[in-house]
Amino acid sequence: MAKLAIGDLFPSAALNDIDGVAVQFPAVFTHAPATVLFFYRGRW
Amino acid sequence: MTAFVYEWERYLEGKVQILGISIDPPEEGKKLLERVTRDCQEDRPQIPLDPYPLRLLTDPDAQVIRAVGTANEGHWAGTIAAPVTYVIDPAGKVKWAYVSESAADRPSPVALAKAAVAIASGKEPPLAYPGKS
Repeated sequence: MAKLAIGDLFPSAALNDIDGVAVQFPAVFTHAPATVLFFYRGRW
Repeated sequence: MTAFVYEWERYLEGKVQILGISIDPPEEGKKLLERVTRDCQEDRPQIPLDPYPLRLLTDPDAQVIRAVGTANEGHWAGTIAAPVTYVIDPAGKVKWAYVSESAADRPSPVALAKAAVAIASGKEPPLAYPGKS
């Protein structure tokens, strides 16, 4: 699958944060005027 | 990550949230958060870290990682997230992206902060990134 690109909408999904609190996508993006979202493993 | 927190403190406080997604279990995410917090507190004690600006999410089955096309299926540890960084607006639209060549290749904190500030201000971010085609 092609990576999400500039102009694309983030897909609907649900995850938990490390404290077990549910996070809904894309609703979480309404919490701030901009969101930095990074994918990682182990460390930044 | 610590360097971007410094930029966050300088330019972005209250305007930008920072989310990280990984297959790592919650305990590994907590270790990372503790490490970054400790580094920042030792290096920049004047930066307020309550609430800390970084929220880490767990994606153990790579559900979101696959949905956005960032899965590295061939890694020795199994399916992991490729190191991609996005800045996304409140409508959920990707406004800026940095696709890394490796885990060590990340956008500069200043470039990332400039993009995030522009988007938080309702402006278009700079698309060109030095050294990236």
